[in-house]
Amino acid sequence: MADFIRVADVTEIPDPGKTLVEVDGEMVAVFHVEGRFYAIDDVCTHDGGPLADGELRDHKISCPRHGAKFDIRTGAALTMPAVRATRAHDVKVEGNGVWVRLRADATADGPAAHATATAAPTATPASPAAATSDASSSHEAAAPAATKSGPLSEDSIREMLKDVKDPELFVNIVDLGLVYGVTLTPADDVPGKQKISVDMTMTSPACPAGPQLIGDTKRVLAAHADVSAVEVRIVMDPPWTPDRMTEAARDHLGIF
Amino acid sequence: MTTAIAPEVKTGGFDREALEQIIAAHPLPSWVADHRRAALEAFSSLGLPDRRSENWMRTDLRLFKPKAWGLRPKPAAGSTVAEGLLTAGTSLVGRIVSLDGHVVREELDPSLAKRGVLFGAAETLLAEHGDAIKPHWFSVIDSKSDYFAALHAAFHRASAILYVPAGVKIADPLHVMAAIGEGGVDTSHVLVVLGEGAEATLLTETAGGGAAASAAGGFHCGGTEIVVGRGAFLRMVNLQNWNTGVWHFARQKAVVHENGRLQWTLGALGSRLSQVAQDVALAGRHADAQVNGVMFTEGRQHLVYNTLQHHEAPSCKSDLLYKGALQDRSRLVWRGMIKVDKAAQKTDGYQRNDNLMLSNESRADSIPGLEIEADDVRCTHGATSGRVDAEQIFYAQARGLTADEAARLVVAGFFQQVFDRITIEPVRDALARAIGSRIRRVS
Repeated sequence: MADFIRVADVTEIPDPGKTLVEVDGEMVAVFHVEGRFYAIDDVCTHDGGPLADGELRDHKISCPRHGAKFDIRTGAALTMPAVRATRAHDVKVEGNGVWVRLRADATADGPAAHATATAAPTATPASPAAATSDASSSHEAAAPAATKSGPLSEDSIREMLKDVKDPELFVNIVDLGLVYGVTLTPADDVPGKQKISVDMTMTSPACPAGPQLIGDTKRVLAAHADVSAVEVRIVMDPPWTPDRMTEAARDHLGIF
Repeated sequence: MTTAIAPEVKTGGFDREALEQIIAAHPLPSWVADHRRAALEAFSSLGLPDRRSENWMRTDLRLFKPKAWGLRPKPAAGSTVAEGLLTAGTSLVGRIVSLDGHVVREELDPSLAKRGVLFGAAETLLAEHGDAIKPHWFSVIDSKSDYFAALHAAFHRASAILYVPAGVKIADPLHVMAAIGEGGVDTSHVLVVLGEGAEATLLTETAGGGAAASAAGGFHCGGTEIVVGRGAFLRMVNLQNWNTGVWHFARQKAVVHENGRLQWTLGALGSRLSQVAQDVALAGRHADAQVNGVMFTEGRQHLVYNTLQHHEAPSCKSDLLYKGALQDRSRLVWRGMIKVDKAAQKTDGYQRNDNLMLSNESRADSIPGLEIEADDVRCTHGATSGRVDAEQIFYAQARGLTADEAARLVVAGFFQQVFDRITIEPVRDALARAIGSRIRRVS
């Protein structure tokens, strides 16, 4: 197993921000987003070229050449033309430094260990000893998270549904305008949890991707800690038309 | 770990002062020095190649630090010449061995020398036979095309020359070994000139340098020029077998004249990063070039080949076959072009690249291309990339082989097509052995 290598000062990378470092003879992109640090290979798995020059938005980095997006937390490929994850690496903050340890293989199943800055870059750093103990605990706590959390609302559910993509168009079902309605009702049997009902449509009644879209929708929502059950209803009225797509989806598909 | 290159390795860098030292070291005709100085002029104005250019798009030079390298005044203490792979089982009629950019051994069968064959270090031959060599010296490759071509043209050292006069046929092979020690630099040039109707076989190979994990690595910036005269036949083999910490940059080009034949085989097993330009120009009617490539990569190796088959004259034939197998997280890029000039009617051109992926993390890019200005040609190309067929492994296991044996068998079968084209048996055997020993379990 490789060792952690100090790659930067905590204060060197703004939040949000990124930097390129060399670790064990490889180029690694290090990100600082919402107080946490992440590291992935500086490789877009689509064309094998460098990735870090691209645009960073939230936890997504876009490849500057063809626009493939990757999750900086896991390395997962989020949009075409990339289909394979790039490698995510372990990161820890110790003292005032950001440390990276290369992982041997690409796994997008669980997030890589990532670290929280123990002090905001501009704040007075904590004493080195305290910072060290904080950092190591945050590193240990960063085991793969199986569930998502955060308050549930129609908006947050629509946001989650953006992870469900049409397998042929590679655009998510929300931007395609396939999601008509989202209803939340408190679960009778489990206190504090919610039942979610989604009304959605298909681009055509015989859409071959239907079962996959329904399955993905259920899977994505059920992963949330506060969801007790998911119901997906397919409705064909009103029928879907291309007008329902968002500007982003049109751009992606090249329809103007 | 990021570690600075040890100071004793850094013996000069590539600057005017270093160039004048090289020039002063050997009393050579003044045109040799003039050529070096002109190349330095070009080198000084060139930066590292732009990643946006087509040939360099898939080559990551960000970790290459040009300033870390310089020529050594003598082979480093402790540097030794590794055993060559191509010498076993061959009866050589001449050999040149260099270490860290210094020729340490030069031999040629006296009977060949008597027939006018020149084979030896450029430092010797340019001084004694400058007039015969001058028309060919750096006449084939463009010494100003990019940073590495210019660096090579200015700072070449421990170079080898083979000159075979018209009508002389050499049956047995000649061998050139360019070796470096850990952190060494090799800038050797190879010039091969075959006169009308001559025949020869030249085997060249490289070895040594630091391993992938070592900080020192090595740096090769080489150039190969081949002139195949009318009706001549050259069998040329380049085996790149550096250790996996070496940066390898090579500009190689052959010109084949009327009725000339070239069989050119490239083997690549080593280096950290390779960037090779291999060009063949068919300059006279009925010239024939067969190009074979055998690549095996592992670890984090990254090899890039840009090939060009340039049909300048009518009725020529070129046939390129590159085959690569990739293990671990290695990467292989081949970008091939068949260019047919307007005058080159009745061209028969073919190029093919097959890659076999032995792991999930390896990556192969095949980019064939055609650029045809004539209207009566036959030009085709093909490329395949694939995994080892699990059913073949299963079938072999059902016949009593282990998974490892089965994988070796499948890989051997994959390369057989290109081995069948390599008519020099010891070369074929050496490549097969080297690849066989590198294959681990197919994942």
